[in-house]
Amino acid sequence: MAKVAIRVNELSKTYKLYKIKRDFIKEVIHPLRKKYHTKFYALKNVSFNVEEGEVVGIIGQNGSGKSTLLKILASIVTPTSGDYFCDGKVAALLELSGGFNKELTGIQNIKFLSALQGYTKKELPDIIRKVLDFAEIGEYAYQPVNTYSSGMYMRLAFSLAINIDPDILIIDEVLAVGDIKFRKKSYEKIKKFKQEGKTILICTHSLSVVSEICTKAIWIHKGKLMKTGEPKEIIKEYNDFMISAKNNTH
Amino acid sequence: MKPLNNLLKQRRIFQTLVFRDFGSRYLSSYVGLPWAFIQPVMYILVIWFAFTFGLRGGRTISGVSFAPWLITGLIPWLFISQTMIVSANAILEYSFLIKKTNVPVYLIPVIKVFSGMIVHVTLIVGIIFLLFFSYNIQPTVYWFQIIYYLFALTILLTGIAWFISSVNVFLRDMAHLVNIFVTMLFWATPIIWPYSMLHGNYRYVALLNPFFYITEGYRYTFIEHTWFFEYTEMNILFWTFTLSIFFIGYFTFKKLQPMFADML
Repeated sequence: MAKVAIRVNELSKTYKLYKIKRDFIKEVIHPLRKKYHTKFYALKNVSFNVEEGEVVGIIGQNGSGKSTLLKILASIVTPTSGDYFCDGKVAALLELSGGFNKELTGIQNIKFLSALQGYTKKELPDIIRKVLDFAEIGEYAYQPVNTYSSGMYMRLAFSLAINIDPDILIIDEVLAVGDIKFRKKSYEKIKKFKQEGKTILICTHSLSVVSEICTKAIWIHKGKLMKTGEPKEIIKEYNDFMISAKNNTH
Repeated sequence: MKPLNNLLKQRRIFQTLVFRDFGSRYLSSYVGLPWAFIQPVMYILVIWFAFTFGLRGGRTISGVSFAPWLITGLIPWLFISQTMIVSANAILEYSFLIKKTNVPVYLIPVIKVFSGMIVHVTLIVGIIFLLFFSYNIQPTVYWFQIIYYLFALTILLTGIAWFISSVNVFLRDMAHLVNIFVTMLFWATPIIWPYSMLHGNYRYVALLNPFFYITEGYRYTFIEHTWFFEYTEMNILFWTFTLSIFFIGYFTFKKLQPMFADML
């Protein structure tokens, strides 16, 4: 058995929903602790293990809790209950903006974010070179990030994430905005990561990607874990489930 | 040597954040860095002008001319007020990092204190030159006290910044309250009027005010040549208040921080 890279144990995340903002204040100061919110489960008792070197595809319909799960694993969102463990350095690519400061240029952002990862000044030129080589955004590297197209944005964010040498890479449905050439290159890179024994979590609606590069699939539906296993089987079940008209309506 | 290594790494991250913050405050404008100094200098000039030619008529306080007395009190106040105002929105401003990277969130309000400190220390060096060359006030050993006061001010402002920045995520009204509060404090603290105007129990208006400890301390340091430990009551009141605020700020922040990503 290979080493466990990610362990998720009974993870739940609830959001308190308030009808209007004022209810939140009322709840905080209410002397009898009256509740004004309704609870919404984004994740409910999710447990699974991921072994080192696995590429895991997370699938599920919109609003099923995929992104919440990835955000928790990237230690950005705090879970309501349960715990998780990631062995090693985690790099996360969540949604598009990837932590960029929009007023800074591409290069300034690379410098800033890799310094935040603890790289020293000496190591920076090397990282900048590697990131730009992979991203291929040309002269735009010297332009503020707010002038970028979403594809360029993603190229830079993805290149940065893979070049800070993570043990675990978390990607939330961003590669879809890249053109075919870059997408292909990215998948090649992910495969290479897999061979190096790194662990990758991808959440995507592109089922062909899951069947092509993933070694395992996790299907989440309305915050609950439906099934994990062989990508081809899970995809088939997921497809059948989604197509049946009864479940297609919320 | 893992813990030490980690600490060094954290320090490096912190430095990067502080300089980036300092940069983004001024560098996006055309004039850039000079704004960091033009603004406080103009502010001081306006106050000085109003008091010298208007309200006060150029009298002296504690034996020195009005301008150096005013400047030594105003410079720490500018740092205090600026930091309180900008730290209210610190978490919101850095939501792009908090939501997308696992940056140590508790450092973000502290960044605001330290990036303001860059301007502040430069201004202190400015005071030293001004006193030395224009008012012929000789440097003394008392001037070293400034290090103590900078330390005290850092602790005080860090606690305040933790408190108001975290509350402001949930109650955006905090930023407005802070603005009003800062204006009120400016007049309530003996900064542009002397402490000696207060008599009897009214003195506690100033003594219970931690910002007075700082502004008056700068005057002890540069002008009045007294040591901070000469005033026992003031020290006890200040440190009781400051340490309470520091821990209240810290625990409020720790309590609210897990919910930041949900609210931003």
